[in-house]
Amino acid sequence: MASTRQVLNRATPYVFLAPALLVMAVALLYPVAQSIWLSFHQWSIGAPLSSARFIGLENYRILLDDPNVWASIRVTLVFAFAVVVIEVALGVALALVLDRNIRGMSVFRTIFILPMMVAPIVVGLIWRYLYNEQFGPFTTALEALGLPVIPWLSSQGMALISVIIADVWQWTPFIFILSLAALQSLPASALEAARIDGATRWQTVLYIKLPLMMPVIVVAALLRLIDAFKVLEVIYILTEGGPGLATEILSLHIYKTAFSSQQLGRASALSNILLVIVMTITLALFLFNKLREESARRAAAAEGEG
Amino acid sequence: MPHISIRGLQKRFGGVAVINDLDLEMADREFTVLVGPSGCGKSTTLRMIAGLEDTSGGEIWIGGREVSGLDPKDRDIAMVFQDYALYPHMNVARNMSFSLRLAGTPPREIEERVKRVADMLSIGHLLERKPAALSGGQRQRVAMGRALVRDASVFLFDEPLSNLDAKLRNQMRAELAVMRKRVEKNMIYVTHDQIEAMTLADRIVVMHQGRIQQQGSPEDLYKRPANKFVAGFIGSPPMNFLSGELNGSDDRLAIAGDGFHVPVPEAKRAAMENRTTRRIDMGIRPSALKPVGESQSDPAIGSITLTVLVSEYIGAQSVLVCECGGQRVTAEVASDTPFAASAPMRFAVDPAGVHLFDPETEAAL
Ligand SMILES: Nc1ncnc2c1ncn2[C@@H]1O[C@H](COP(=O)(O)OP(=O)(O)O)[C@@H](O)[C@H]1O
Ligand SMILES: [Mg+2]
Repeated sequence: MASTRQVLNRATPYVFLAPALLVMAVALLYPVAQSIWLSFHQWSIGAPLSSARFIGLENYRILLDDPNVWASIRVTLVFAFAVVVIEVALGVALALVLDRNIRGMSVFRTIFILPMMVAPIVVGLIWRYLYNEQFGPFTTALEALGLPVIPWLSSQGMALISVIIADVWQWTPFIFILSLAALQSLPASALEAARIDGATRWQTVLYIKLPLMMPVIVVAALLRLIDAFKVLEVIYILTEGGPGLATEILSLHIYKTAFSSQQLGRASALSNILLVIVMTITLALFLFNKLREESARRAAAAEGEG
Repeated sequence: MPHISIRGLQKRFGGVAVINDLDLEMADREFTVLVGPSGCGKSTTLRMIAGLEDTSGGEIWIGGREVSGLDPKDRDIAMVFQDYALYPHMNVARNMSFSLRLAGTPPREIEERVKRVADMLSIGHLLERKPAALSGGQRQRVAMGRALVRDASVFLFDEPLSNLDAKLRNQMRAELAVMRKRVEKNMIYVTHDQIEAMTLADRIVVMHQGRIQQQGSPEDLYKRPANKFVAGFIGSPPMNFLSGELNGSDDRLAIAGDGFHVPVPEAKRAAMENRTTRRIDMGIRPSALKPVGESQSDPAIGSITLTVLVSEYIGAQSVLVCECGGQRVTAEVASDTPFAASAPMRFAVDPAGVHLFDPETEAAL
């Protein structure tokens, strides 16, 4: 029979966890619950919340019928995958290049991670200036070289690319520092063993460094992916989603629905859709990774028996 | 088949000289052991031979080629690391075959060579495991196997047994001794353990503070140490050192001190007679001390009176830890020798087992 003492012992961790759980519940679950509740209602800012009218799935129906929403989803996916792929490739490559003990390297590394520390609003303002098609530095430089001026933010085709460049500029450092940390914690003697075994610099990267860095790279890429679905400020300042809907990613669309169109119910529904998309992609990648590891393990076990 | 020759090798880290003018010749198929206390520069020397560390001066020749500017991969060497340095993401077979795969060896041959070496090291059943799923001893074998599958002309070992527990270490040491007879290659083996050095080496190189103290066969070093450091480092339990004074002359010349009187062996008499100082350091191996009764006394044989502090029983032999005029002395005796703690006990000293050293230079006389 369990004594009082045992029961108390078993309860202790929950007692200690309780305050944190409570804060989590209030700070995390309440808004989500509120947003779900709101997504089934019609309500605009200013009116008392009690005046919200229940309309069932109407918000979702309207949204999923709206071609603009689908366009926005497409822009979001293109943006998110493009920035993650480019940032991971660049960040890892930079880490590999800068992982050496040369005098002054630490200064160099610090400069490289500066963009990450700049507030998104400021990043947006900086790039809006850089991209300015009358007097921005890019335009001036192109003109000085006698090259045609690029309509950075004003053309349908170019705007999304420009926005991606700005995001890559800000967030490549994130992948870079995590990759660098991963590189510097690699077992030094295994790298020496590879040199003795006859691996060239490039072969060491390919067969030893990258495989050993992979867990860190995967997590960093996932964090970036989740974050890329939520960017708002930089794009808002650069293009406000335009021209047309060329750069109107979902979070921007939600923002406009909520504060320009004043349809909070519909905005909530849309943010729930975004949440589902992000969760689906994250879970899919996570499961894919798990399955791959599992099948590798099973293959090894099968060979071991054979 | 290479002959390794190291000439005037130097290494400085920052301003600190770690290796000073090291000269070393290794004949083909020789098993050379670099031994010395931790921090004396053994690993640094080995890493310079491997090409993992730049030299600060001097030359390294392997098989008639000056290699000190070459990459490790161009030196035709294999190496076993102290911490094994296995590739954590590859299974045992892939760890062992990495160099062969890089070299583009045909898969059939790779498989065959990995299997042959794995069987020799009895790790054939582990080929699909990752290093994390191996015990220390198994990892050690894999590291050894990774070096052996290669047909390198020189094998380097950096304290390969030091991370194993005592029992496994003894077992692996014996296996290594067998293996080195089978694999006829030039091998350089680094250790701080003089027992490993004694059992494995064709030739031992004793290092201390970045310099070679002495080199020679295990027997050479044991019987004829060149200085006090080597005498104290080689042999277990270590040699006893007592400081004394020369007195008497001719065939009565002896070393005397608090509690001991040992005639100078005839062969060393001439060297003693033209010394300016009477002070001298005497080294006696613990096994050269034989307990004798109080009554027996032979002036031709030296004697020493010790106070026994403790006895360390190790089986057939016991090590008596004693004291003599404030100096610690150990004696290795048969375990059935009767003794009384903290009572004086007389030992005969075999003059042939006595080594004499200059107290200033510490060189053997
Ligand atoms: N990378 C390094 N930088 C500075 N000092 C070093 C470095 N590697 C080794 N040393 C120093 O060189 C000396 C010899 O080291 P090492 O060759 O590793 O000795 P051991 O004989 O124990 O293998 C030690 O005093 C050590 O502190
Ligand atoms: Mg060492």
